[in-house]
Amino acid sequence: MASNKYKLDNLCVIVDNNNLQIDGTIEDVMSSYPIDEKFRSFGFQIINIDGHDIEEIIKAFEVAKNVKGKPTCIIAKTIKGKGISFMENQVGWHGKAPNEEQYNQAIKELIG
Amino acid sequence: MDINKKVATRKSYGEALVELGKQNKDVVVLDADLAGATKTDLFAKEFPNRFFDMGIAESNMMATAAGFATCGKIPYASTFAVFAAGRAYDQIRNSICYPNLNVKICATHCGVTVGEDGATHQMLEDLSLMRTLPNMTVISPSDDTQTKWIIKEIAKIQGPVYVRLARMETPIIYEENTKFEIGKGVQIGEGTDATVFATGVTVAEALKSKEILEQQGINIRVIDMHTIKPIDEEIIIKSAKETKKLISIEDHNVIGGLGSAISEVLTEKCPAKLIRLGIKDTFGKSGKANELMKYFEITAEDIVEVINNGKE
Repeated sequence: MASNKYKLDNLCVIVDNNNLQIDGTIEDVMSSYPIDEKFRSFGFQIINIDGHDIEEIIKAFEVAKNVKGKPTCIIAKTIKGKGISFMENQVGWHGKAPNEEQYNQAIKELIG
Repeated sequence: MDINKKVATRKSYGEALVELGKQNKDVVVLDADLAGATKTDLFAKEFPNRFFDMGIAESNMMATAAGFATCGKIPYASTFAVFAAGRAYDQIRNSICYPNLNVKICATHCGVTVGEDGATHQMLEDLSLMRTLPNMTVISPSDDTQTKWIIKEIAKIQGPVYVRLARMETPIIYEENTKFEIGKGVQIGEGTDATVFATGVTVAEALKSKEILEQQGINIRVIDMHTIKPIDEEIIIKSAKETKKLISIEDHNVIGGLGSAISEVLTEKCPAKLIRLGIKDTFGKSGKANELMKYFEITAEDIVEVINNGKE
């Protein structure tokens, strides 16, 4: 509300949407969908992107930078734990650290 | 003390803000749709470009004030105490106090002396909530002169400050240009029969009780504890050593406020009995401010009663 009232075109909100909360999926815990419609109704310009695509991220920032008179919300669709087989899309990895064995396995997978 | 000239400290706050705004261009003021009641409307009228009405969204107001502070501004954020210290506690804790940002929270309508608005709007635990936060300075001024001084003074110190202001009109206690110091209580009188520690609207009550008792040949001293944190340990210990009875009085829950802060010092540094007058762990009620003070036993007469009869 305030960012719309004060026309904060230098404000860019990024929603990292991996569809998971702490207890489960967004739909199971308490759905906040549709996210884009909510921000749009508060006066934001919406940009939907693939959060793992660097080029799309840069392009979205350029669009956000040039918009006048309103804030921007970039909704980045992401996959939690992407690139690590045993972490991908797993709710349990919200707030815990890997042990040494898991760490080594993760790094191995990321470096490829 | 001029009993005939009464001013609510929220009004003193509004007037001081205007003076401060003229002296310091970095001062910005935020309110949450209560500018007419908190008196920040006086500043808004004078400096519309430095006033931000954030609507009924206190949490966002505190976060925005934190943002202003990171940009070198000196934000004064105002709303009723119940919405400032209560509703926006999380933002005050994590976005203002933890990063030790230079935000001045000036909350009006504290205590039961809010009056008719009743329990939902009578903040009785803000001193407790605010003084437990690291980095926070907590001030509860007693009259017009002191409020105007403190509002300007806190712009000079770095870090978060919570100022507790009242809706009810109270007598002017101090002459213009009286000197105060943050963290130092003001001792009024040298009596040794008892010490009454008071803060905010109860300081005038304590002074009234001092006059009543004088006529009975009982001499007390009143300590205006305008700073709740850091608490003035020295004056508490001195009073405990020099006077026969210790009493605290506040328009706040007896848990967590002035009485508790004094007790903490006494327990550790100079064990002595303290009788705490205040709201006894209950919610407020709707009524006229002076009626409620009687009902909750925080008037001059209640102090006299405690000193004469040991009523607790």
